[in-house]
Amino acid sequence: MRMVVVGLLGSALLACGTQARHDKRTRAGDVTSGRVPHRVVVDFRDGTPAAVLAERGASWGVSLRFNSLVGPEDGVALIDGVEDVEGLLQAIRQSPDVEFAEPLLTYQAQDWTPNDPLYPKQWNLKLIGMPEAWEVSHGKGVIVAVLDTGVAYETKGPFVRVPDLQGVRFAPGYDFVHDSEHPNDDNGHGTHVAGTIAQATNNAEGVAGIAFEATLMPIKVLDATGAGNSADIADGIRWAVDHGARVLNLSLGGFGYSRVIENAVAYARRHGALVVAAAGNHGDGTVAYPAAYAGAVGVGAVGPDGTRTPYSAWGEQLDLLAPGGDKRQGEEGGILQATIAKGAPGQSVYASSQGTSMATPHVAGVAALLFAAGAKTPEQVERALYAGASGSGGWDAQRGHGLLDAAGALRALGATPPINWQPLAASAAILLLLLLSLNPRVRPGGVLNVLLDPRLLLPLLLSSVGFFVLRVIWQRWVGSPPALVDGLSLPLPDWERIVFGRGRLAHPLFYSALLPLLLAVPAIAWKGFRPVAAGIALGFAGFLAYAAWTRAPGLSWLPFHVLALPWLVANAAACALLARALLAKREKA
Amino acid sequence: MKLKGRVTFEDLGAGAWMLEAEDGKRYELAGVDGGRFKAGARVEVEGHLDAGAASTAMAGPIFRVKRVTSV
Repeated sequence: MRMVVVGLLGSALLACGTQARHDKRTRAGDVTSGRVPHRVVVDFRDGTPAAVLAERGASWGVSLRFNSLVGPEDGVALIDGVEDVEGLLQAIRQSPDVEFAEPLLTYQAQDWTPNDPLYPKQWNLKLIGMPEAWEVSHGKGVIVAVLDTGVAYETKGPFVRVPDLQGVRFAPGYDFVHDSEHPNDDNGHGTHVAGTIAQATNNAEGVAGIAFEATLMPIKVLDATGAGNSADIADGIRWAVDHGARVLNLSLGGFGYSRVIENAVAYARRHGALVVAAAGNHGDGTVAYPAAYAGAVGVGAVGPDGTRTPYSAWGEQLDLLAPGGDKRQGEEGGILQATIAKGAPGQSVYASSQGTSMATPHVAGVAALLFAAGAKTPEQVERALYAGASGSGGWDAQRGHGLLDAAGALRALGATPPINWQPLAASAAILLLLLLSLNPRVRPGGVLNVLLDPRLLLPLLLSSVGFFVLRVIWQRWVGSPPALVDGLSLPLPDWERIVFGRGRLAHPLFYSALLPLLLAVPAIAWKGFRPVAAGIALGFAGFLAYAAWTRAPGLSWLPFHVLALPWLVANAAACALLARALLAKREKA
Repeated sequence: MKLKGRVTFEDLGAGAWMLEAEDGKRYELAGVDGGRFKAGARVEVEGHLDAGAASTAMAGPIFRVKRVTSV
């Protein structure tokens, strides 16, 4: 029986897979692509030996290497560190050994993609793997204190809450500069920083933030010019910790050692809070305070190409690199967030900024994701941040532990997407309705009787919640689960991800009654299979109804409200009717 | 304390006016209205180094300015 299920499923997967792969290549909407700066891919004639590569490389003045172990067969090679890409391409294309050459492109399947219209300009969020990380955590409930120039969080007097912070949770903060309970922003810096951490996301407005379900705590310790003193900063740290902050963002720094601030950082650490601070923008090998104090995570900045920017400090106390922006090539190279206009706290704008100030909240945001995903202590968060960082393989003074990687950090923590029980609840509710709608003569029994029949329950769980047990067992006994195990742990309709990779837009054929209908065919003749087919159909009904209810995910090719929503509702109804028929027939027979 | 040098604007963090001083160091000029500065201008500033201060620009030690004169 299991073989039949697997076989049918396999052929359905393959049939749909072939179609969608083709579409992905041709539809720009499903896959994002972008040029990788300074890198060129060259396709030599198949079977070109490495010696020829070296020879050509020498004549073009570059170093060539095969892309992978199949390079010697398919001839695909890479060149790094190219200054004049177009010039080099012209030279390469003259060579008779070369089939073609082009700038290296990245292709990225869209994972959890927010609908914020300016999100495509946020290269920084993609650089640290946010789409994958958002599948696991949104930072829910973790209090992140922003010790800065304040945050545009309330509409009061000359101040406004910027529109892209509407809906974001705030904990009461404090203004240590004016000794007031209204830490509004009179500069713009703090609002920008807060936006990177928790901008309202998937709200069809402006830009996205990293831990958008976290709670922001505005602590004003810097004045309208962006400067502050050690007493206010130290008080701000202690106040935030005493009022429940688990992560403290300090996008500020100075060059004088302050025992008062050092003690406050140690206090935060002792009380289970992580202090994240900017390494400094003076570009040399000394990290600014407070980033340099023991117990603070010191963050340097990278530009869109992932390399450290010239302004970013580095050195002994550098812990991580994160996107801080590099506007030498233009505004697009900066970090874009919502904030207030300079000198006009009532006017909201989207501004592109650069600095280790901008890099720091990336780390603070990811720290919030880690706390929300189950990390208990700042030590655990720090370990996961460093173990997950990309491109380092250890610590060095130039890059710290490497470039922040949100998805990598969550993997290092062992965090997995939360198990979603709601579709199962929807299935149970649908089952209740179906049983009530059946004539008592053909009704197979009460809800619990039907539900607890393992022949129905297991397929129902598989299709509505997924075999999450598989992933749990794997993680406990084997280690980090491979992509296949991850995929198999998902609810049946989401198995499309095994074929297509993670995609926010689901394939309409997987999110349909197709598979339950196919499985119902053997159930016509084989009565023992009916509860299994009914369980699957019921699970699909609950899953699709839940997807329609929450309006997520969207479906490929179908505009949501016009086609996708009716599609989900109709297919959920078809699955429910199918389940009804299968349940009723069993008793009749 | 007096410092002489050239004024520049650094677009880092909240942005800051810096002094490329004749002693070869760069100082962040704090406590004075930025509207008074012009990038490239040579000035003499009077004030003091504020070792305990921190800022968003983090591009050099913070110098609290009391008086600015063009030179």
